[in-house]
Amino acid sequence: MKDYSVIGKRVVGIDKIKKVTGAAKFTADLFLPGMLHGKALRSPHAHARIVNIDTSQAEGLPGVRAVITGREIPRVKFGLTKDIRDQYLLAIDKVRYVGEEVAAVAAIDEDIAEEALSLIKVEYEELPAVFDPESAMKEGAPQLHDHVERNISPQGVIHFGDVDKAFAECDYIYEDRVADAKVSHGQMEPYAALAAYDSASGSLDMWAPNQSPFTRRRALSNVLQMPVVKIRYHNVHMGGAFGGLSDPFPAEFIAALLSIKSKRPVRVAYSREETLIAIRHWPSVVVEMKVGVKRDGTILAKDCKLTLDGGAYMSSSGLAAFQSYMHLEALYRLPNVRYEGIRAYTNKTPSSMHRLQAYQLAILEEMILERIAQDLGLDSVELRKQHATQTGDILPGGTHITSFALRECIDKAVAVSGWREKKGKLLPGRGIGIGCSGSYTGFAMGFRLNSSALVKFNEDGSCSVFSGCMDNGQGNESMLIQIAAEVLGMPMENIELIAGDTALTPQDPGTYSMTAAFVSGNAIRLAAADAKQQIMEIAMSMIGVPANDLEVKEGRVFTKSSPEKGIRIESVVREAWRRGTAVQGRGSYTPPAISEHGWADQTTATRGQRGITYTDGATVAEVEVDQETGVVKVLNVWQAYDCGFALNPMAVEGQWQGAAGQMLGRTLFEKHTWDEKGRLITDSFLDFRMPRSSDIPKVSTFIVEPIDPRGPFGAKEVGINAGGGVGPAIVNAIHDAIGVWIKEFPITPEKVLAALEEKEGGGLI
Amino acid sequence: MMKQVSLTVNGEVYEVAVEPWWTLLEVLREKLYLTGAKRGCDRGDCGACTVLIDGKAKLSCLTLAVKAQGKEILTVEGLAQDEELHPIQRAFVEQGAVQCGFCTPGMVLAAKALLDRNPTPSEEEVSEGLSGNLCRCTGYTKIIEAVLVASETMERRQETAR
Repeated sequence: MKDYSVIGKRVVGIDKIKKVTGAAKFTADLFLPGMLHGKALRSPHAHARIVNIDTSQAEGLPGVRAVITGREIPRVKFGLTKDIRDQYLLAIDKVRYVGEEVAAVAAIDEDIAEEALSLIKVEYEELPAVFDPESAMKEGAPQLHDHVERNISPQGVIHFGDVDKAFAECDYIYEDRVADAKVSHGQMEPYAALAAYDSASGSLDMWAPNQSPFTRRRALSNVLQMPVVKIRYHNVHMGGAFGGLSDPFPAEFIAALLSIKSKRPVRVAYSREETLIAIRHWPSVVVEMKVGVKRDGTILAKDCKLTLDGGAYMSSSGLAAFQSYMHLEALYRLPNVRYEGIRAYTNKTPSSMHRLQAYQLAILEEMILERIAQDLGLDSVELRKQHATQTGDILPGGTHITSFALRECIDKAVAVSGWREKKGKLLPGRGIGIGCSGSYTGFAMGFRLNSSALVKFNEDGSCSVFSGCMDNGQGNESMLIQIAAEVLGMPMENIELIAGDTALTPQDPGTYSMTAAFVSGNAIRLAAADAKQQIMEIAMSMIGVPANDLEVKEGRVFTKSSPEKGIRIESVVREAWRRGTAVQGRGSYTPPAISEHGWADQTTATRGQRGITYTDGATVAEVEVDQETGVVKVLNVWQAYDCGFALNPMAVEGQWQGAAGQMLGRTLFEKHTWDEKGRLITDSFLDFRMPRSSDIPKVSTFIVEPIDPRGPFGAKEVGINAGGGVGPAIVNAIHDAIGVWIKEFPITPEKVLAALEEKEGGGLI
Repeated sequence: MMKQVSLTVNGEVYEVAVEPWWTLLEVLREKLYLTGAKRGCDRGDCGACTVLIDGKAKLSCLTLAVKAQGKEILTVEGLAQDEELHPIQRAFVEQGAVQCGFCTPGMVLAAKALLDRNPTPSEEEVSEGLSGNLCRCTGYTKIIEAVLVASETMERRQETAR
């Protein structure tokens, strides 16, 4: 392994001291002179026509400075991409879920704003509503959007090879199904937006937690009909995203409009209730899978159907319905594969992606693998390794796998957990299970998949680097400085990062599909390399030595042959200015081969590179099931994952441990519940139960590092596949413990007891 | 009707006019601009608003500002002494226990209250002791490790002082 100065080391994040002293400002911590407080009025109905809104009383309340309704806004819909714009920033004719924003008020304080909301009179004409995909897709079901028949959007079938022919050749066909509940991403920061409109210049400054300031700016520009250069999204600390902040929310439109109308800055801070009800949910799915296998355990074909509850608006849930396919075709070798994805609109909170979308499909796939192994008398670990994809493989649709390490991950997880010694041998009620998962980095986003970066040097030899990449809390900002520091041979403290600001930083994809390390990291690496090249060329003429004999390290440029012969970088920087040039590095990176594909291609059998590169991993979990109460306790989790080269092992571990917690929560505790009128009952952390420190065991992580040929220093991605094997491992461990397969999640004690009862009563396992 | 109160926060006395129904959290954030304590849920479910009142961990979103008069209030801004981080803060930073940082102020103060009460907790005692503070980013493993490291550092300092 190459010896790097700062890459690959356990680096303390540059923002951590600010966070641990309370100095880091999140959106709701920001104050501007004259700032007003904005609040939104929300629909009490799941599906209704808006007949009339009377805001006169609210407008007359002392302390209220602006009131807005859908009538005053341009009739321009917004959405994540051009093809999927289906939402107005304030409901105009119809509301489609309980909690949808209908009107908003800006007042001198929150109490007055709340009072004003209660004075707004809205007349609704209630419409019949649907709350699950099955009902929504029936003939004659209430239609949410005029242009969408039977509430289905999108739907597609991907088929490579010949699944039916392969099934005919198989000795056994396994069929099974899993279903789960809708949950929240659970970012600890409640949503907020701050807008400051300056009527003199016509410019709008925005702060809001986001995964891509450029996506947000574009959306605001379209809907407010303001030029892009008049809107600026500033960088701001944010309290987690996890895929749930990919598209703009009414909050920032509301803040912007209120600011424009009142001519004052306006801060809209959602409560926890509003954040749980009205931003985005991680979708629930039903996954059905058929697997064809030969007597010797060779799997020839998989046929899969995934039905996804998309909620009232598209957000990124259309894509979510097809992301599971990326896992299905990539993790295990599969010559024949068919996947049907269906997303249905329902009168509930819009759904958007969360980390590993294939979470439920992975559970089903791994469950079937265990069943096959059990029935055929095979070792399920060997069965996985036998089928594991390897570096160099070409996937059914033509994707080339440039680095993969599933076998190594499986071996590692099995070794550290003692799986072989424990499987089937633990005391009754205790079990151990293994689960694998895989993900892609980067899927087709057209021109938006580009990241560009700039590096400028200061007169004292320090430098500033500019990147559009956002830090959701995973440590992206530190990572970018780390990469620049390695290339330039400078200490991290001498590098300033300006990030995620639409006025100051170049284009960046945003933290979707985990492009931060692979794409944004590569752009910074290229920009730093460009700056380094310029430094060496100028130094060459100053020292009189060819550029390829020069090295840049620790703030100096020196000759490799005699290191004492050199000059300090600041001398080079100043000399450049004297000559009428400047040391300014430029870098730009768009991953090869998939940039011409659009989002819609994800739903079809398009041939070509579906993702830039792929990661994988194996998780082992040990559980204890109390057969009297049905309570499942996870005793231990071991994760051996592949992230390519680990740029910062401490940050990598943190991501995998955090995701393990989220997946454990989803598998065992978390579930959103609605009443018969579509009102969210689980609108607090008391009812929507996320794991606490006493719920999660110590999670041991092991990094497997195949070097990717295209990733910066060989790095791939960390945050998507993270935790992906936890659900499957827990489900398999429960089966090992008590001999039942539980196929609906979360696995509550009631479900465990019901499964045990069925087993006692002679039900099929 | 606004009431004039005197709040002692991080050793300083603040005179501020408050409505009787305002929580300590609102007053700290909106009137004193001490935004370290966060409004994570405003109902006592998440712990992000944790402050220490007379040494005990309290949820400032469930504490009325008028009731906090005459008490010693410690927020995260008051932990570090003259530019030097408290051992708990240092351990959090060095052990990778901080990701997005939103839960961190509350978590750090909850940890301080725990260690002040029980200077040498077991891993399980730390895990139970912090169960009032939600974190979504870290999965708690590194947070617990940081608290254990901090307890060792603080014990060593006590021994050196003796």
